[in-house]
Amino acid sequence: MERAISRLPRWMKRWEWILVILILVVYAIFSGLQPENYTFPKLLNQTRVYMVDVGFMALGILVVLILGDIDISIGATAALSATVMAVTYNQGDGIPFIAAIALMLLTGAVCGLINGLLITRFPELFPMIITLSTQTLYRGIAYIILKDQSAGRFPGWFSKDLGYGSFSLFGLDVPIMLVCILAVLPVYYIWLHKSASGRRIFAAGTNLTASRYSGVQTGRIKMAAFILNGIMAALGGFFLTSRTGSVKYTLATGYEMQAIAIAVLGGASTSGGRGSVAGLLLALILMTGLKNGLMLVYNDAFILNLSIGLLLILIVLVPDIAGRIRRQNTVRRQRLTLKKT
Amino acid sequence: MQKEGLILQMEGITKIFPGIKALDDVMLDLRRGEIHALIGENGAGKSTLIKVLTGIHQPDAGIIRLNGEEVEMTDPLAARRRGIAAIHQHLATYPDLSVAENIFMGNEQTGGKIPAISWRKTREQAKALITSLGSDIDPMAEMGTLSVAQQQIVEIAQALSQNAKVLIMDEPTAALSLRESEELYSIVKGLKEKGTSIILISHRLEDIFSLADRVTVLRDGRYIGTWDIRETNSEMLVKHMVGRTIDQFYPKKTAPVGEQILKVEGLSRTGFFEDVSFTLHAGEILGLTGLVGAGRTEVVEVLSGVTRPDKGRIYILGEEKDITSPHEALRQGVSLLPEDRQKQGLLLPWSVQDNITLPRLDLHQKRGILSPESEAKTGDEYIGMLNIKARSGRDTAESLSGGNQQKVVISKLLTCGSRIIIMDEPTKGVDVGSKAAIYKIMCDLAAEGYGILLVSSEMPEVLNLCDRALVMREGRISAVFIREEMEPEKLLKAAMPLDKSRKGNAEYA
Repeated sequence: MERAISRLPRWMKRWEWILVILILVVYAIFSGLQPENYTFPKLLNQTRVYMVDVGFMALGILVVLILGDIDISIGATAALSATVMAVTYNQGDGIPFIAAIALMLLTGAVCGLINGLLITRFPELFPMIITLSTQTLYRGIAYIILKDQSAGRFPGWFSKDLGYGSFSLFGLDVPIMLVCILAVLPVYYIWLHKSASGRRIFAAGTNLTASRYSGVQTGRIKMAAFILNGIMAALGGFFLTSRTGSVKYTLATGYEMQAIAIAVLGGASTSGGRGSVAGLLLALILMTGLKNGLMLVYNDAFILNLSIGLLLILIVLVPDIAGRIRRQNTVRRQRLTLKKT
Repeated sequence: MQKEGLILQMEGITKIFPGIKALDDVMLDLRRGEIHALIGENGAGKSTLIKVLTGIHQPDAGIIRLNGEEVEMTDPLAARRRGIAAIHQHLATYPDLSVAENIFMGNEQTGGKIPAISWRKTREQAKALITSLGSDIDPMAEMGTLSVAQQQIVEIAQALSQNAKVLIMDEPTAALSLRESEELYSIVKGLKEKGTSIILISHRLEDIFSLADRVTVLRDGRYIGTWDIRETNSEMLVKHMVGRTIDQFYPKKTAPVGEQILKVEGLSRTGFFEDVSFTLHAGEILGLTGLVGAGRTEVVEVLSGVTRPDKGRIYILGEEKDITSPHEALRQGVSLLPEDRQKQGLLLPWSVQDNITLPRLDLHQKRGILSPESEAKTGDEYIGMLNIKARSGRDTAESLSGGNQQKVVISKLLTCGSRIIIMDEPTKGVDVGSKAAIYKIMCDLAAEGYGILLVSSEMPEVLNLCDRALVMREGRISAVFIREEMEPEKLLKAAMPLDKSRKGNAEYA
């Protein structure tokens, strides 16, 4: 068995296959338990809840994780950006919604810029602590703007078509939102895995000093990654708002952890240098299937979170343990051949 | 079967790691009160043998006898208790604690009526130990304030405090200046006379000839032989280490020196170096030598954009340039081979070819997408050209030996096509065979019209390769020699600190 695995070609030994297997297992279990409710069309409809807003935020944080940094202010960034959008649009009738969206994206970019500046200028401080502070700051500003109110007047297409709209494809109802994230994923895939600047991002995350000595502009790359992360967080907030229909300062609370969990489950490492867009997509699908199934069976958000937590620990441990067993087996085999001779 | 006077016998030691036989039936015996050199190229198994002896690794076969009695080194503590102590190249000390605390760490001196650490006893014993080594380090000084050499003396004191009978020194002088090395070696000789047995691992053959009584050579995890030092010479040892004769260690440099390509004027970085000026020409190998800490690395860091100067001008091909980052330096045609290849030169988990293409990824793009074929082609090209020992370009950099890793870093420089190549200690920690190869590459580059600035602490390198040599002392250039004028004594004199002559002048006044 061990030998058979080690003979497989490189592409078949990828982490992504484990995610594919897990997806199939989860689908088999829950469609067995709930054959009426756990069906592909229903799951497809649920993707708008579990895949889109978190997906955008996970893509943003993926680049930051590959660089070996972390940003836990993205939930707050989403809240502040969405607040700016809602408040701008509600100022008066003359303001076009597109201007509000532009301002929202700008807000996200500025939030990311502040994080990036603090992290690149003060390398001795932990990114975790810096973004913990800015998290409070951004959500605080959202609170100052909105107080405890919620802002919920948006153009009809925003909540109706984007939030709940879908179109028919081969007899299936495909949410419009899902198409948005599915359109962005290939762009990220090509950028991160196939382009020179993507390679440099992985390089900077693997060894910052050596990359800098090799002419990689590490400072610029980090700034760009944080700004883009802010924009992606704002987009996450945008799609979340279209789904919930209103903005409060508490929007997207806890989403930073969900996004990080998705990226890590997809193969990213918090110590930098590793991450996969394909893995991220599979992690999103796995989470959708799992959360949906758990909600159907238990209908309890606490059980849901507990199960997801357990699963994450297991999944992060599995490759580590597998590696250890593999190393031990190699040594044992060599010792056996030694004794024979 | 104990032989007279043998304190330690290791026989038939075999150790297996995933994928490699690190040690294959290796033996080593150590007499009481001898200095026994253990040499071999990187990856020959020296460190593994030491780790087996100190209980860090368990051997898969073989026996260890201590004073004729078979022992098992189950863990590092067991080895320490039996009187085997190792002083590593990378010191494991507590920089914020005092010298005395460091010496008695884990072996605290209690005493008096209450069961607590007796600081008086600790201090006195530390003082006694240090004095017995012939050193005058203050036992209450903070460890972090000492020089590397002094810290090593403290480590020796620590080993002695635990009654070490066998002392293992792994490349003890790698980070030391010449004078510090000599100090350390006189201490080692003193220990030997008191009956301590010492295993010395060193790449510097000169050290081995001046210190060791016997020498054992390992190659590719195998035992090659043990010789009395008087029966050997350096050619013979090199031959045993490499497994072949190296006819031309230092290639003859024939390239003519051409036009000026780099000129530095009055370059200063406060606290590191002052008023450094020199020129570099095409086809020239210019040495930059001096003691560790004289400011050489800091100068080349400024030239390659890693740090910024406070004052001074840099002209490249006659034009004044402002080098703001390594990226900018590469664009202006200045490449640096950094001092620490593992931390600054390579992405260790990455493949050889990915490392090589990293500085010039722009060359491998087709419509914005990287071409794996183009990258593999470049990787194979350099693997062939520099004779890098890897199965393919997909091998990871960390799986290569030190010398081959260095060749990968050199490949990276070559892809940049810079005319000015700066090499900071290119042969540090590199085995003899790769050293010769690197020298050859340098001469070939010079012949092709590159200008090479070679930062080196190794005198033979400077003497044999360089057209001119700059010597730095305490942040300033103290002398410039042309090839014909270079003599070891002159270079040394220019590198040594000025304390004595200053005193002399004061007396005059």
